[in-house]
Amino acid sequence: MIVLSNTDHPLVGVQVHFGGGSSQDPIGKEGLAYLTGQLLMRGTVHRTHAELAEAIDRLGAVLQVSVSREHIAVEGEVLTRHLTPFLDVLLETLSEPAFPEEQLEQLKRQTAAYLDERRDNDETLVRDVFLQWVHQPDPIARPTVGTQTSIACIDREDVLACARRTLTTKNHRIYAAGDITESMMQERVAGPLADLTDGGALSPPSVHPAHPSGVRVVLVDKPERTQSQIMIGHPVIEAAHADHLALSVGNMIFGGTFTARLSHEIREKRGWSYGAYSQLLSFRHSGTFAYRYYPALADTSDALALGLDLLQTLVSDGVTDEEVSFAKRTMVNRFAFRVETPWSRLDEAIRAQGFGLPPDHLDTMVARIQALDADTVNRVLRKYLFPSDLRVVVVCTADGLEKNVAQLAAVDGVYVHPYKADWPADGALG
Amino acid sequence: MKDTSSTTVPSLYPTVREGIFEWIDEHDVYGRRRVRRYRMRNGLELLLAPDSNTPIASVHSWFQVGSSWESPGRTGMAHLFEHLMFKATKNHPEGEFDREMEGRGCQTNAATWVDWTCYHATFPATGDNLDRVLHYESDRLQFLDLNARELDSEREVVCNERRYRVDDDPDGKLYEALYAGALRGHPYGWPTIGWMDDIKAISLADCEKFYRTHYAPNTVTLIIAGAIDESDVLNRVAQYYDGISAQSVPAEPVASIGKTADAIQRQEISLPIANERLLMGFYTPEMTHPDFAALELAVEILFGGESSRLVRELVLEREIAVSAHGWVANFSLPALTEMSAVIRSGHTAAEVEGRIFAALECLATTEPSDRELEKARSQFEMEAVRGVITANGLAGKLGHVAVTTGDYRFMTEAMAAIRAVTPEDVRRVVAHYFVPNRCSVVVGNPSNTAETLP
Repeated sequence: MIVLSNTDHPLVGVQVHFGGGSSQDPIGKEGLAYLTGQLLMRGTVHRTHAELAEAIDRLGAVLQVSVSREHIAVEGEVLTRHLTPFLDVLLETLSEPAFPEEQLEQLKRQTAAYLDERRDNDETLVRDVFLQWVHQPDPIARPTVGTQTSIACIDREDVLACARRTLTTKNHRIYAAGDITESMMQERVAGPLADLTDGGALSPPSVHPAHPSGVRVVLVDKPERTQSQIMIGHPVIEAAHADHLALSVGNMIFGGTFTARLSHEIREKRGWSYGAYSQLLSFRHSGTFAYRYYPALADTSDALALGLDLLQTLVSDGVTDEEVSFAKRTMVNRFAFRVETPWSRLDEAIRAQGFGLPPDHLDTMVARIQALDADTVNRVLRKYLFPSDLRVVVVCTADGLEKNVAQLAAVDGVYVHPYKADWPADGALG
Repeated sequence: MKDTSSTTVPSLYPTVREGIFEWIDEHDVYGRRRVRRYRMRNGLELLLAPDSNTPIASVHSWFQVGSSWESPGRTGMAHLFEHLMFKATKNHPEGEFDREMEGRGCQTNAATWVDWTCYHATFPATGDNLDRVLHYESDRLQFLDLNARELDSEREVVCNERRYRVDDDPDGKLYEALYAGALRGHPYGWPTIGWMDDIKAISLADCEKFYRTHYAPNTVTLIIAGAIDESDVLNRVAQYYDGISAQSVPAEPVASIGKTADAIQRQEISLPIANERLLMGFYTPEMTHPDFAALELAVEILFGGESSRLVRELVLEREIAVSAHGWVANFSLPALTEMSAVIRSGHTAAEVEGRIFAALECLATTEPSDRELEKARSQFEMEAVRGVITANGLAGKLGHVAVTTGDYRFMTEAMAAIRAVTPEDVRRVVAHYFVPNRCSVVVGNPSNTAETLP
């Protein structure tokens, strides 16, 4: 348990994280962790879903479940004066969930509708397809919310089994920040949760990232698009890896800020996209290098070619001392935001525990950034980024674009995927 | 940084004694955050909100110009110009501002909406960061050096932003259609980002004229919050802004409609979406209107959380909507209260619209319970506290309220008004405002099943 007490504001944030998440979902039952987590708010042995919702809303509080690839997190915020009844509700949802059959069936129907709606938004669509494809066959590729087919296959016995594995004594961590003391958290939350079912911690699966072969492009074909959403990348090392910080510096130079190479070339020089950024997503045992931008349909082929070329140049020509010096200065100066509020400090602590970072991770971060040089960053870029082995997802109206993209020299294959179709569980293309 | 400033009498500061600043007032926002207001002799309004418990400071410049200052055929100007404010000045070449800010770890951005344009910079309160931010902000207020190449490049960016936010976004299209239909002739009737043809027609001369007209010390409210020393800030603001002359300011926009229609105005749009979407807009008053707080609580009772009347009915009990939301536009002029829903497969927008009107009718005839009202109040108070935790959050709230209502203290007044609303107030405003002849409806139809209506 980590509690960061601070009385500056009459507000308390509490989180309880359970190991597991969608990477533990059985094949064919993707979405099981999501449904199990959401059902925590759908009724206890004492209160119905409606009664729980009424109790939370009446406090003006927020209490929700967030399911990721590696965790089921119950997260809440409340004004200090409502803290005691809020903690009562929180504890009840975790220690006495009922997983009502009728609520499961309703949640399945609602989730099926939600999955349809996600496709309406191009930005969500490109991320959903990209994150599944880029990590297959790693279990973290499994779609967190599941698919229409998998959701339909999940029954209450599956949920109860998932809950038995997940809601256990050794599989949870408790976090709080704000106007609350450690002793109160111990008394009102940690102590009672020690009575959960005995069980071990669920560790995220350790699967070596699968690197793609060649530059493969999937055009997610959607009608009436005026622009395309492009997302490019591949798996990379995990956050706890010794080379991750140097890779972060390289990423910052490539596309981590507004003045980075990607935004400068795509947005500032050519006006091709409102945004153009790269990022490193982190999981316990792997990560994702991804960059995204969204040009007009007419500029898509040229913008894709430029985006691929920029990555090739980054790796082959490397970064300069000046670029590394600037990126380091930016990262060091941004450090204050990590400790601005008790809640931001708590986020850092959660991140450190979740990714297996050393306890002194934050204390040593500035010194570790300062120790990096251009040679180190370039070595890491050459070792971990693969400009010739990328997965590219483009949400677009494919008609007319497929041929142009296929003619790009850097592209090894183009595939068209209907936007309403689930992404194939085996990743088979064509 | 040690915070000693909030205990100093403002009249003792040299810049106040010299007449550069006039101390206007001080006020504890929500009874918790001390804010002092000054006015410079050139008209600039300055709000200071020191906080010794943070390592961060935030500078916000809120200009009293937004898309409502535009006119039909000339839309998108305020927003495109906001982009241009990050370009070259006579003192600093293109790109220097962004690079200088980034290197300092400073987070900068800007936003434009109907009533205002806001530029903000949030940074570690160390070294000369505050000094440099104020230098660059005052520099681009005076010395922006516009050219055709930068305009053309940024115009392309804005066209792509429009495609992203509107043309390829179902909700973006629905909202644009709602405001254009419901507020025809009203200065909120055109989109802030502008119509595509208008964006493409904006000339360099238009931009230069806009800059000369709307960017001056007497059109801006400067808010500085976080780890600051009040005396030091006053000296630096005096150094960078005192030499800038005030200028005549155009008259503020006025709401040019006020009458209601005879019946619900309807539009349908064909979109590549899975299921129908419903968007309703009711013509309701401005943020400072005495009925505003009751309207906010009414919408919270209807849409705030899973236990609210309409989320519970539409999403959970009847399962005819994927989601349902409501929001009262907090603008300077009368605008719309929005109510929206994504419809479940097998159901129709018309069915959900009927349920919404039934719920409104119920609330218009029977007062909400004290319990419902208290729940809604608690949700407002929670949001208010959450919104002012960071320096950037507090500065943003102060700027929005100051520019939209004319007085930052309205933040506290608004919370007091929320506390004073009675069940009868809620019933009355629902009966008065949420009625068919104030309502416009836009329905998004899946494009494979519907025709686009003219």
